Amino acid sequence: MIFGRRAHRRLQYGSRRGSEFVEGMIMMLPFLALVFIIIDASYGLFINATLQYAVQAGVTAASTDSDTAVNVQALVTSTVITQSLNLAQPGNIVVSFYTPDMNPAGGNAVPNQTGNVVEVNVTYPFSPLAPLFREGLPPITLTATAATVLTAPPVAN
Amino acid sequence: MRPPIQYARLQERFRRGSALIEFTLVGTFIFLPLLAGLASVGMNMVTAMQAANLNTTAGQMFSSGQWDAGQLQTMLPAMAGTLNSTSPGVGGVVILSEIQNTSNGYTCTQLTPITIGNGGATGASKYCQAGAVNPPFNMVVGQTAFIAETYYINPNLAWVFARAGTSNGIYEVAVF
Repeated sequence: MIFGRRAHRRLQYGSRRGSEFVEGMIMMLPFLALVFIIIDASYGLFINATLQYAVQAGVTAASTDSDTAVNVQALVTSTVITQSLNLAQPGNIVVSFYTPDMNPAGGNAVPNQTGNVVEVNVTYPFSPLAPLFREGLPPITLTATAATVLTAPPVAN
Repeated sequence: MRPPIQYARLQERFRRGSALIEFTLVGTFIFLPLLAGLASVGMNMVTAMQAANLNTTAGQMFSSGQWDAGQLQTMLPAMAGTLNSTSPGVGGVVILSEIQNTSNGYTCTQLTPITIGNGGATGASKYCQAGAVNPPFNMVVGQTAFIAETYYINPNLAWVFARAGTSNGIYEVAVF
């Protein structure tokens, strides 16, 4: 035997030194994945709730605005953008008008006639923050919709 | 008595792989329920916002008197957006009541409950029941209150609370 008993034991301890660190690093990947899933889920829900609040503010603005349909649409778009903390982009906001029997009123002479329904729809392409399993995957589309009746009499176009 | 060095080596051996076990336990019993609860509460919150908006609109339309019961039956489900789901068990009802304080006491009338979605939550009005009228506040004689109540549930979003048997869905009320 080349090494003494004491030296052999010392070698065994030396080979185990730092094993907890290595083990910890191995566990770090699934741990961080879980943490990022929680962050991403929270962020997605925050965006969804914010967009929902924004479209509701948009339809409220539309229902009380006495103006032409074009100006009402512009007001709704700016309201939704402001109330959504600039998350919503103008190209993703759709303002639609319906008659009381829920037929599209967009082609009517006065789409925002009192008693008609205004519907605001916003979409948001959500990309998760965590760089895990997202290669080649399309962003998740979050959607928020709200509708109400128009109460203010419109002015002529 | 075991020599101290041998005892320490045994302790080391027992500790090996403990981080993996700890992580599995923590992940299973803390992180995953936390994640499911977070998603469940968050999505139910958005649904509650939609239900509140629909309920307010329903009450506003009912109180204005511009739309009859048939029109409300057609319009409200169409205005409900994603709440008007076709998934089984997802949905609810909108109950519209009118309470009046007449010289003979409180009277109430109620429209046929408007169904939103495909099944789901059902419930009775808390203010206008057969044989019992519970006004939301003291009303003077001649005063009228229009009440909109909405019950709604989406069991697909009740991942955590339904398992505990505590989820009764969303209830919204608005008085005009």
